[in-house]
Amino acid sequence: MAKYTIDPITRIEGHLRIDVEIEGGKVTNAWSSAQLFRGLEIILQGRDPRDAPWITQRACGVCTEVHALASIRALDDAVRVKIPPLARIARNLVHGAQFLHDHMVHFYVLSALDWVDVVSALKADPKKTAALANNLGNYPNSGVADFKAVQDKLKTFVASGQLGPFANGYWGHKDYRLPPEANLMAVSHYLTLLRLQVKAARMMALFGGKNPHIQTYCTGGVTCVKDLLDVDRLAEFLYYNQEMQAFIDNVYIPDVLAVASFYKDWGARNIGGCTNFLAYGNFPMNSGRYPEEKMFLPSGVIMDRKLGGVKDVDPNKITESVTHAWYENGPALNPAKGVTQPLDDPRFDPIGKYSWFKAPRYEDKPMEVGPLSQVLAAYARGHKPTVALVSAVLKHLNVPAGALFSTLGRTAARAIETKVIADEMGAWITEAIELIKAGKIETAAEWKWPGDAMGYGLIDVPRGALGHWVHQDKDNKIANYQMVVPSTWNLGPRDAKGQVGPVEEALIGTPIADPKAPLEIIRTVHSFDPCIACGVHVIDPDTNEVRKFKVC
Amino acid sequence: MDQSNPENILVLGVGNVLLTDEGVGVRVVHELMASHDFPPNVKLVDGGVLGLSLTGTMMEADRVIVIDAVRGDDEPGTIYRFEWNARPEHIQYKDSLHQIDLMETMALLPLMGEPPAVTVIGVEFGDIDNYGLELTPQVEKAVAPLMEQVLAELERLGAPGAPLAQPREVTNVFGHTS
Repeated sequence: MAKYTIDPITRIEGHLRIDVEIEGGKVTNAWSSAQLFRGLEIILQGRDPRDAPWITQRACGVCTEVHALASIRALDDAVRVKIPPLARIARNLVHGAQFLHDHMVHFYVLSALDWVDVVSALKADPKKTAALANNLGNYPNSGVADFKAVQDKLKTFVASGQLGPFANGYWGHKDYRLPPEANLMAVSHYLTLLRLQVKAARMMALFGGKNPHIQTYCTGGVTCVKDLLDVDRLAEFLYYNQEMQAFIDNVYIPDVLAVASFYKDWGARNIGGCTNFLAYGNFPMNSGRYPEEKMFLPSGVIMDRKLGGVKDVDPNKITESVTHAWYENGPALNPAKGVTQPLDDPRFDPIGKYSWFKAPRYEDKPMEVGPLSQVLAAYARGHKPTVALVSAVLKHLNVPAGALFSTLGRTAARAIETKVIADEMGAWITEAIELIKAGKIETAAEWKWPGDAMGYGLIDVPRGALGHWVHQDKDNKIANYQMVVPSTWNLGPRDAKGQVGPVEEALIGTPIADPKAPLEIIRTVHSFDPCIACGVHVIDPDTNEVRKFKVC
Repeated sequence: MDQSNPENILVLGVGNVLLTDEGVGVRVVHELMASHDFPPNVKLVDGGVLGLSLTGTMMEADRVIVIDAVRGDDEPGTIYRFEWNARPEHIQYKDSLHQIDLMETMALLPLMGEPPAVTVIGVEFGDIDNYGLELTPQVEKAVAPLMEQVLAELERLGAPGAPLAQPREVTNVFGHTS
């Protein structure tokens, strides 16, 4: 048996170490370790609760909006304010745009290169590539000359030696299965996406006030009053959304299907699959208190892959275990009563403590969170657009629903979720226009400081179930603030019962062609879209990370 | 320079304001926003720790002045200035938090079109390991000279800032103005 350490994993946000044991060409055991401590909650203590959205959105370079949203929802809840319908729609539009941006960037920039060999693309025949692309979708700039131009650009880029995100790839690995033409097509779409994501970021800024670091969310509603009441702005959003839809329908979804068709065994053998799934739900459709709040994408708890047994989420059933985390031992606590007491001298001990992440559990079970959980919950509850898309994808690939419980299923679910959201946003714009016509133009509700109060803000974000818990004291200052972020759910360590965390579970059983180039591990880890920055404190002054392999 | 069509200049402060000196670039940008007016072709942006999300803003510019903490193994507070394309090897440019960081983002820009010319105004940090919204005293002392450096740069580019008689109130990450 050989032990391997992969530290750090590149093309993720932050710093993660994965240790695996490999025997007989398979992963037999796995440990996921967040390498740096999170101290955000400590900064917040004693501050005005209204500072929390400003500060928590600085935790990460990607998910600034989502922390602002969870934080504002926690503050809304603490002061028990119900936000007006127009404010609810504005929040949904900004949050929806964030999803489009994140998911498309994740597929092309952060994960596609685990399936697509950039170097092989250099060998492709542009003519055959154009034929392939036109067969899969109908998108501009897909002619022979376009693919030739991309190939030339790529050659120049590779020759420049400044590879950026293309550095440190396992190019030439034997489990890269796409023909050169499919690789060139995917690389070309990577470049298209680089330009398109700029527009997705602008789309967020329309009602976000600005981007980066949106500033429209306020306790009780939103501040983007003039923008919301400006019909040109609403139309502009719609126009951007249509542009996103064209890409999603003609490029993103076809690319995911094309890649998946070469790796169907990953679905059939449930490689990278987990057992339990949790989605908080997303895009409020009324202003009830969570979990009564009706969501466009419904919440759900699915245990043992039993879609028929989908249940509602009860926030009281969430606990965090510190048995295998670098904190003082204590009972598993609900985040509303969470304690953060870091150890001074953290040491990696595979049978003891080995991560800065706590281990969140629901009914004492490890839960996968993220697009797959959200799509499964919606599918299990008969959410029509989701059911239609999931069925179409399964049919196209000719695989059973069981194939969803895999790394590939997670990747497909992210694309499905993107399309479901993009296809719905036009309706929210229409709803906003109807409200404005009816004179219902209130964008923020009045509220009063409640004195001693607790609140929570739960919602699904691109990486999964995100929760902020706030306890305000009698002087209306933050007494305690806890965040349980998606990557803690997915990448957290073992718990008091020794149950492995989701990514650990997902890795065990993964076939490994070449232990010195564990591409298969990277695929699964990336499919969770890990964002460790918000989970932990991360500093790494080295700029060009090199993967280190320690063979113990 | 053609005054009717001046080049677009982006002053981009980057870093994580939660990690002591990490956020010095962002701090300088906010101080400049509060204290000066700038010609319409100059845009000041608090980039935080964003990578890819900044590409749009960067590609709109002909010239970018990045302000950030760097490691040059000199005294904390030491100010550096260099062209991105001629960055000294001993300076470790850092944006710390991310794998798709500013460094990689810059590498991607040529794939998106004609990339802007980038000048870095850097400052040696003292502490980027501990959580805190305040700068260390040595780096705090460097804030005013850093602002001067940026203003001199803009003046040289024919786009000088004009000091305000009264600083304007800016709502920002450094605190809720309640």
